[in-house]
Amino acid sequence: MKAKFTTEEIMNSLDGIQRAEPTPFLYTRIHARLHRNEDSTVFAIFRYITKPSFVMAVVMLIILVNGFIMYNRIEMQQNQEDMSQTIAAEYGRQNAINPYELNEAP
Amino acid sequence: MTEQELIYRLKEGDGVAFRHLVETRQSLVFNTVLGFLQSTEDAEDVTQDVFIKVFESIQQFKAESALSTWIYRVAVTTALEYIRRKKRKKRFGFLSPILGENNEPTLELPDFHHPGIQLDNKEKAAILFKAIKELPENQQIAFILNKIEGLSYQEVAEIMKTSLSAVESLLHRARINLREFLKKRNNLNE
Repeated sequence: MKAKFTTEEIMNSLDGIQRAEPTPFLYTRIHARLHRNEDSTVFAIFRYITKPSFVMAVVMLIILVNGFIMYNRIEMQQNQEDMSQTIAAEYGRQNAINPYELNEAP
Repeated sequence: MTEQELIYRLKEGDGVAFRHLVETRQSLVFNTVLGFLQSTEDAEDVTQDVFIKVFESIQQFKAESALSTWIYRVAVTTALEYIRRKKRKKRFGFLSPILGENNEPTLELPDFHHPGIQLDNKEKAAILFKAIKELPENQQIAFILNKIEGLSYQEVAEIMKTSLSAVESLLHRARINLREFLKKRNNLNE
């Protein structure tokens, strides 16, 4: 059986082709999709921040930051106490008057 | 509205400018995408994707080329991505009832009839469109932009970011490959 068309006939079949046009509602559809995308972005953010893993991570981070602050405070307090004890000791050796010493005979 | 003004307004997020862009460039995008996808429904969806991409990435457009050239690039890339995605799905969709034992489609896809083809050429063009699908990606891009979208070699070269001689070579090789494919097909039918 002979082929219906020659190779050249097929090759030339696109001659005089016209541009295809989309449906007249293209813009309306794109507009709707853009709004849907915006809504879904907000929804996606909300969904993400309410995820248990995200909530757990935030809680852990808060605990960690709190722990760090508390540790720093305790350390600072200890440092202050140490300093005041040192100062007191220094002053005590030089200036402190023992009340019992007052009644003692020279 | 001049092109500079249009670009400026698009970057400002002006809805009226975007509507103007869609209305003036929709046939350009649709026709290009249709050449690759060979399905009106898929081409409608991908045309929407292209304009959404253009809207979202207009800030990155540096105006080093014409706006239409950039839109053609987005259209070609999006269409090719869509085809690759579809092929991937087909490759891994071996459980789908449409596929046979050898992971080959058991249902033959219907012939594609481009709406812009004259009636007496429809059957021949459907055969040619089947052959175009068999071309390597670069040859496909050059052939579709030149033969279906009617762009000059220079315009194709700008869109493909290549030289004029490279486009000439791509089109030459595309024609050779198409002829070979068609000859094989004719020999099978004889």
